[in-house]
Amino acid sequence: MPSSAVLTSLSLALFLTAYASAQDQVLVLRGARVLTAADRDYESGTVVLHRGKVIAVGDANVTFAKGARVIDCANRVITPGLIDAGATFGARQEDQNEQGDEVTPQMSILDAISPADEGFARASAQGVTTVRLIPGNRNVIGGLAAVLKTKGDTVAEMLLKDRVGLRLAMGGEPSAGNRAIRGGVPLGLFVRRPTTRMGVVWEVRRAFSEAQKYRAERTQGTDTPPNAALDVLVEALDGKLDVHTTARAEQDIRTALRLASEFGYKTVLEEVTEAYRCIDVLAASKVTCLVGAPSAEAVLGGGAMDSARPRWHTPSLLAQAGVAFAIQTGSNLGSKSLVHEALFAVRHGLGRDAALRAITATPARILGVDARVGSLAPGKDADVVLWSGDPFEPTTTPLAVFIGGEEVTL
Amino acid sequence: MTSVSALSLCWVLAASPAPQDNPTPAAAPALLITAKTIFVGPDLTLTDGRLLLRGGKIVAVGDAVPQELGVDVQRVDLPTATVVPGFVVAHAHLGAERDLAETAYAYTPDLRAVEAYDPFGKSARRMLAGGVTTVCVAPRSANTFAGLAGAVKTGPNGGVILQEQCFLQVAIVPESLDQQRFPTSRMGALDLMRAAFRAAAQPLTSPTTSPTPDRQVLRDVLSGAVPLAVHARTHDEITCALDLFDAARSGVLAGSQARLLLLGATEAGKSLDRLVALNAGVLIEPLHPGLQAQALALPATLAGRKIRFAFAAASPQELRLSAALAVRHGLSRAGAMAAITAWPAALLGLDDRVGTLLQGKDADLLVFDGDPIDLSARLIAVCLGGQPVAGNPSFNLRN
Repeated sequence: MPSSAVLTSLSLALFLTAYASAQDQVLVLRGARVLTAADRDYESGTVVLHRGKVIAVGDANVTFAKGARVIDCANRVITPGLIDAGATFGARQEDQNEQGDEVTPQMSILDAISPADEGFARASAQGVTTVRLIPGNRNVIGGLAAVLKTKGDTVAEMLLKDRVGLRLAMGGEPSAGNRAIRGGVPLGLFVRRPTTRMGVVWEVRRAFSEAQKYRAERTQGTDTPPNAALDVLVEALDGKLDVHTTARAEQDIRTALRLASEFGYKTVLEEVTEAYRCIDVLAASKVTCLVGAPSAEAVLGGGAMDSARPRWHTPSLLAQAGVAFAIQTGSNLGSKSLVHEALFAVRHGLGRDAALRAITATPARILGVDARVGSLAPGKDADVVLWSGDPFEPTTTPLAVFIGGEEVTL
Repeated sequence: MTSVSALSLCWVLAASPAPQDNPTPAAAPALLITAKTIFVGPDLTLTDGRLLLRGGKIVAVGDAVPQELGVDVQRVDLPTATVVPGFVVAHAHLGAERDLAETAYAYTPDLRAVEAYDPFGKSARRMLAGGVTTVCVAPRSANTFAGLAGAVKTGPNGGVILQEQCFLQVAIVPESLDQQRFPTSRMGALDLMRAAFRAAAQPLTSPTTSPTPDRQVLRDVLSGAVPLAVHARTHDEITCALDLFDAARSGVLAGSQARLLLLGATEAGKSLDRLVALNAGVLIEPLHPGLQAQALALPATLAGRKIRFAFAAASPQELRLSAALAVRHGLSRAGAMAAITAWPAALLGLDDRVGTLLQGKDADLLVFDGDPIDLSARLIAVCLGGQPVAGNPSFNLRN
């Protein structure tokens, strides 16, 4: 049968399905290879969606209600909606960094997001149904991250979880635009510390030391006034808020871990371009990592930041060492779509199952949203991607993407 | 015929002492105007009606005008003309640009735009010549807390400053950010707003201390004495503004008495339910033919949900064009007339003085040779505080 005929009939069927789901109908995707990113996969599986949730996942024998709309997905592959653990779309570039100060922990990326940003539509058309957005790396302590669905008219509608992490940045980027005061009158915003890698760490120490002092004063009941910025840092010190530290070069990875143990906060490491140089340290510290886009880092040199030298096989080395990691498109503007970045990791030695988990179940767990997304199981959100074939083949394309049971325009 | 009548009005008006020489309108004689159509207010239009002015005020309208009037009353017959209230522009920057754009600091809530206003300046004269008799002068959105907008008359008659504090203008739009000072981002701007209002809500340290001028302005916003106008254009900017008032989003103004005006608000059509729930008003950016249909239909959309609105405008031409385009895209003629007179006056708290020709209001009125919503209608005469704005009849006829 000509494949275009299959595609036509399939898209017609899916159109009818979208209409049906609006009428509260049960949707059954049957016959595809189902990769659940959970306990087991199914060669000829069935996925049943109803009222925005997955209600059943199993083999060909799964039963479903009469009157359900059944889509034949033979020879296709179904995965959970993908999760990009770090992307830079969704807001104007200028709005992703508040550069009025180096330490702005209370800034929330939710204030910057524009649901109309075409990055959301582009990502969802490539199978990404959930994304973590976070203030940029231009500040030493940038602000608060949030996890959102890639579909919705307002931030409130898209929001899955607020305050999932606090941005910290090591290395050269926070100090990149700053200039030293050399006598006379400082003109402009960027005549300030830090101007060095050392200075960046000094800013982190100063901020958390101040937060420790503030916490002590507040618990002793002195009349220290509440401070929104320090409240966020105290939340991190108390272990109620993860820190997401961007650390690309090996020296920055070590510094990030040292700072975390010094102040006792929990950190996730981000971008980790030179993780291959300190795999043992990462494994011993039980830290979780968000790996920047493998292709973009290798081709464009990690965005040329922090003199970190990328290697294609970093994700597979992390997997071998048992370090939990997610693959993200990250801050590198040269990155491809999320599934293609995972594809490059597969090409350089990462197993397909591990690659799928690195863009579904693992980021869901790291970001604390695994009760709702990241795998296919009854009760999870109906975020599902129907692929034309194996997602890690370059010729594969998404045929349909569902977010909360609603089909996205591809 | 019309021009003859108009000339007679101008003659009568010009016969009154020149306004600059006589700032006390009380000395002016009473004037009885009879016109084919008198748009008194949104609910009252008179045909072949009468209007009695005295001492710079409207003293009687329609049947309330006594049949017997003394010989000192001057009479003007305008058998083909339309008389309407002086137009009210709800938001304009009347003053030199550098005088209204505070860029050095983000937080300047206690700046007052009326202090940059010159009633003898070119922009004020131009407004008046086109029939705008009242303007809300506002600071530019060059910083986050831009300052206080105030209402003024566009000429020296009848008191220059109507009200010093019409609203506090704050900005979410990108032009309020600056890469050379805090805040550089929308995150920073919203954080600044939260921090400022939170600080202003703190009780005073002792009953004898008075708040600093900036805090006082914010406290007036929190108590509802002064509305808060948030400059927001896109749907996400508007959502950020509405979230400030939303308890479910821990909005810093939720639970306060603060009143919201949205400024700009091109995409307000996507947030109608929330605007209704907050009883918010909208000051719409001037319409022009190049806008998308949705933006052009915004006035009609808002009117359909009974959301109060008015137009910002840089000139009288822009104001009349906005009203005309709004009608072309679904707004009623009466609604358009109200949107350039009574509604802005009500939104800005000036309706005890201007916006209608009801008894007791200021005698600010315009004479047109047709319906002013129709762009071909010509403005024949402008009367501010019961006085002619110029003694030269050809000045009025040229408009």
